Amino acid sequence: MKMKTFVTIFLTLSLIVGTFSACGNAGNSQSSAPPASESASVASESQSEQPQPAETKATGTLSVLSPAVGSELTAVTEVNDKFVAAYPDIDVEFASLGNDYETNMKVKMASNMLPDVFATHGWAKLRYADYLMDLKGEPWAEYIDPAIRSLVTDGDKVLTLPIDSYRTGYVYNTTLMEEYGLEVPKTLEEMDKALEVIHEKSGGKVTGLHIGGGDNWMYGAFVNTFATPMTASTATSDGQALLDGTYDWNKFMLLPEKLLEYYQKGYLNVDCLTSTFADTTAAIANNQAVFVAMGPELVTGAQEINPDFKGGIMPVPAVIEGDTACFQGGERTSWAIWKDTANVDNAKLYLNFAAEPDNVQIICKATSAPSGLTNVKPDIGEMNDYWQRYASNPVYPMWDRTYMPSGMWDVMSTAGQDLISGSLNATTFTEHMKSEYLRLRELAAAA
Amino acid sequence: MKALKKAGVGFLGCLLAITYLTPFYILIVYSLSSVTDTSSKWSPPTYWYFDNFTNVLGKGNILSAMKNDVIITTVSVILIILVASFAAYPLARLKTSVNRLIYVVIIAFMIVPPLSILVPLYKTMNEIGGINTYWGVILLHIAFNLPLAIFLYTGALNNISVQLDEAAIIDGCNRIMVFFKIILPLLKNISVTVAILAGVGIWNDYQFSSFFLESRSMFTPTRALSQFVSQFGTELGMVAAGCIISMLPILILYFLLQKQFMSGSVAGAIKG
Amino acid sequence: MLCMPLEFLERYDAGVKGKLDRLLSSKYSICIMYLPALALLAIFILIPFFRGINISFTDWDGYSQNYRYVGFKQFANIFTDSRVLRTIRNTFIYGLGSALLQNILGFLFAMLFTSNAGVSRFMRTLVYMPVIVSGLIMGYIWKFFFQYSGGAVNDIMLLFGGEPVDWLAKGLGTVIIITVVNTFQFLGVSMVIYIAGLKGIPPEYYEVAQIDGANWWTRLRYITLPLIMPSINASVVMNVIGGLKLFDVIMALTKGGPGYDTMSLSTMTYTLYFARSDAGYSAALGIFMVIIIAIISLSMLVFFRKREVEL
Repeated sequence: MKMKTFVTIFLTLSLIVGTFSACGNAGNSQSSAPPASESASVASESQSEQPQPAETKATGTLSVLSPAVGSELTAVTEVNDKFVAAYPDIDVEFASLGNDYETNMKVKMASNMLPDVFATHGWAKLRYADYLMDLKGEPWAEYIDPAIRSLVTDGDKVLTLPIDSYRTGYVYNTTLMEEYGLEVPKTLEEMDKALEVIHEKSGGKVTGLHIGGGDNWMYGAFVNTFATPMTASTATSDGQALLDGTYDWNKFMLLPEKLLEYYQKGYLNVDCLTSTFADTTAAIANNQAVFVAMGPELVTGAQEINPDFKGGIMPVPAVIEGDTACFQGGERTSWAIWKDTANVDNAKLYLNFAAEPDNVQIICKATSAPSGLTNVKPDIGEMNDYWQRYASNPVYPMWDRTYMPSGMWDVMSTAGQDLISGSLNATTFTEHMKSEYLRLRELAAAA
Repeated sequence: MKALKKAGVGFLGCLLAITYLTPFYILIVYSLSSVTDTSSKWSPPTYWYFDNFTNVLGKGNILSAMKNDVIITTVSVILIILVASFAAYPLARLKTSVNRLIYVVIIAFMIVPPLSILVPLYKTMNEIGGINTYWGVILLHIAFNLPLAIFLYTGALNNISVQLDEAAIIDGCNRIMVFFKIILPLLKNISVTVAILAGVGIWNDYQFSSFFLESRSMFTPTRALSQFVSQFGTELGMVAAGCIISMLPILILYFLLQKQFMSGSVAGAIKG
Repeated sequence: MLCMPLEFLERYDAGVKGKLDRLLSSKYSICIMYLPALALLAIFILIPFFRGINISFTDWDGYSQNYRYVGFKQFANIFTDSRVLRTIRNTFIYGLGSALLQNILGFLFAMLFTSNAGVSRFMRTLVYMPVIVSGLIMGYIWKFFFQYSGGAVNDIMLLFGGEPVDWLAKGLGTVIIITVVNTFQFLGVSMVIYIAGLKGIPPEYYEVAQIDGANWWTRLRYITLPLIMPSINASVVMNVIGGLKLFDVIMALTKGGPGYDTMSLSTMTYTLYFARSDAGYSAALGIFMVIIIAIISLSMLVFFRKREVEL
């Protein structure tokens, strides 16, 4: 009986200890490199198989985090898989978070525990700069497209590798435009007219401007798109006023009034509060919608649904008289390195690999965007015609990221929904934007 | 009069049965229709289109998500049973003022929803390196299931006579030994209840897995499904097929053990 | 790991053995058994809870390294922010509405399906089935009914020549739809609780009442209800708290939108933190939510305790 007593105590204690030590082990094993002997044999094997450079011996781990979805994700994953094949001894932990990316990154910044390599998706300078390693010594740094150089550098510090040079405007369905005999609108009046024609000629069956507003960021995207020519163009000084806080918000009324007008006149899809971006893609692909405030990846996405889909991209029609239509842009598919990473060498290997022309091609084909590096001319078919046609139209940085304090994106997105659902009207929409803008500015100034 | 009542119950039963079966019926019809099939989903499908199931298994990552969920649920449930029954024993047997206080505090934790402490919880998980790991999520599940489990075990222990313990001690067992030899076997029923209540919650969990498991290879079915919906939301057939596949394991378990499931609910509720 | 200690212990010195034995013979020795539980609860609930209180007094944005202490400002915001007030209203509809529906219907179903006949057993199985389905999946299933294009409800609307309706964009209407979906899912819990309660009533009570000529209402009022008061108590408290915590179903159906029209306190806490970068406010709302749930559960317990005595 006494023996058993002991066994019991010991079992109890070992269970208690085991509960905790087990976690400790699991934690360690995650970050530790594979045993040396094992990795060496794998390395020699793979070297004999594929004639890769000598760096194949690189070992250790690397965590990579991306916000990509859809075709962009497929492409990013393809490049990642190539990297894993080329460097089989690096244990790459690759993850895409989709819509949850930003929220998760914020939490990671809070605890200063970032992935080794992550995408800056247009926020390199404004949000992530303090957490990024200077990459000016990297071989690809000299090729960064001058059009976006200022957006991905801070002084002479290179913040991120911009694989594509992203621009957004309105993606449109060329088949329907031809059917209704429409020219690409260059001004807001022409845009209104086009929407009216579409609504009349289709008997309300075809949506002029599609907003999959169940994903509330689609309203954020609309506000961004519309506000750029309205406030940020070189034809007005409102951009400066927004930055220093002297903007006259009464001028902003035009935006909610237009959105509401489009909705009331039936130019938007009826389910613009509950349908999702996936619905938007399907609608334009199946010739049920003409315009979407979006970037070129929508064209690729729509072609996946309907291979016969013909789409183009146009700059956002001018709001101010005499102004030219414009794009918004920045880096999209991009990789930066966390400044405190323990895996500097692997991280730089990863970026250099992604910057190789073949791999840049893969990404640009998926996003239909121009390359962010001047040494690569992407083969993106018809989309190239559009980029060339509008090469002289100005590209402004993304509106919310430049002129709005951090935290405004969700305000813009949900306020758009509220406007359509009737919880806000044009006046209260503008007041709400203004008060949140002031509150968040004050918050940012304090920090 | 009796016949009338019987007929009434029968009629109401039929009506309710239809109400309860409709959602599942619609789900199945969706899962069998191709995306181009826009006919009403109330009429049964004219042909059976199983591609949705094969496609969602491929694109949706559901099978590996299920493997993750099986690991997380099984380990969590076993540890919940052990840790909670361990904790309940001294709390039921030694009612000192300290232990009474500990018990009340533990029970009070039942009303703290994980979301209400999301911000600091995420910080803690990040600091201990528990994000994106099995053990991190498992420990979280254990912690948030402990209060109810400890409550149930303490209640059951209060109904087991202390004289049993004392007799065993006179026989030469020490106190911890008594727990294993005498008490734990007597708690078998309540352990089944705890396993079901905690197991269903953990298997179906969406909150923890969406906040703390980010990598696709770590997804659980709910997380994989929500990712799939945000990406392929218009493929309603595939979404429906994904829902069906994700529900299947626990539905099968339910049909095998429905008595235990229901009595588990009752035991879990009587916690005033 | 489990075999090793055996050998190890066999070689154990008898003196140490004796000491350990003496230690274990103290009745307090068993208290080491709750240490693992206390450690876990402290790390994952207690400490985060206090850190949450700390954060709720700041204006932290959720990711930067700096923040200021702002006292009770975040808590004051809760009562002036019309969106949050709407959220609180919704949360009460989710909690109290679900509790009301679930208990009335659950009690009715329990009365109907108490017997052991095949039909009753089948119905119990069916009504309880949604309980074990994930809230997220349940939300997606009902989305097939209520979505605008291709939704099953709009199919019916079209069949009868009506106009399709965007059911999930109807503000208060959508809040009620979500409440009904939640009721549909968890009705089974109330039902089985009431069945257990009803089965616990000795049949002799009814026989005596019948002999005394009591009609069904009298029997319900003076026998059934008083005797199942503990079940009512348990079921109501559980439903209210379940409704107040509602998250998964809302995320699947509307994500709290359009705007903030269908937000609950849970989804609002989530949105404020993740989408709005308003961690201080989010933490304050989280603490507020715990306080509300505590007040409601305590006051209901007191209320039902009193009723149990009175009846």
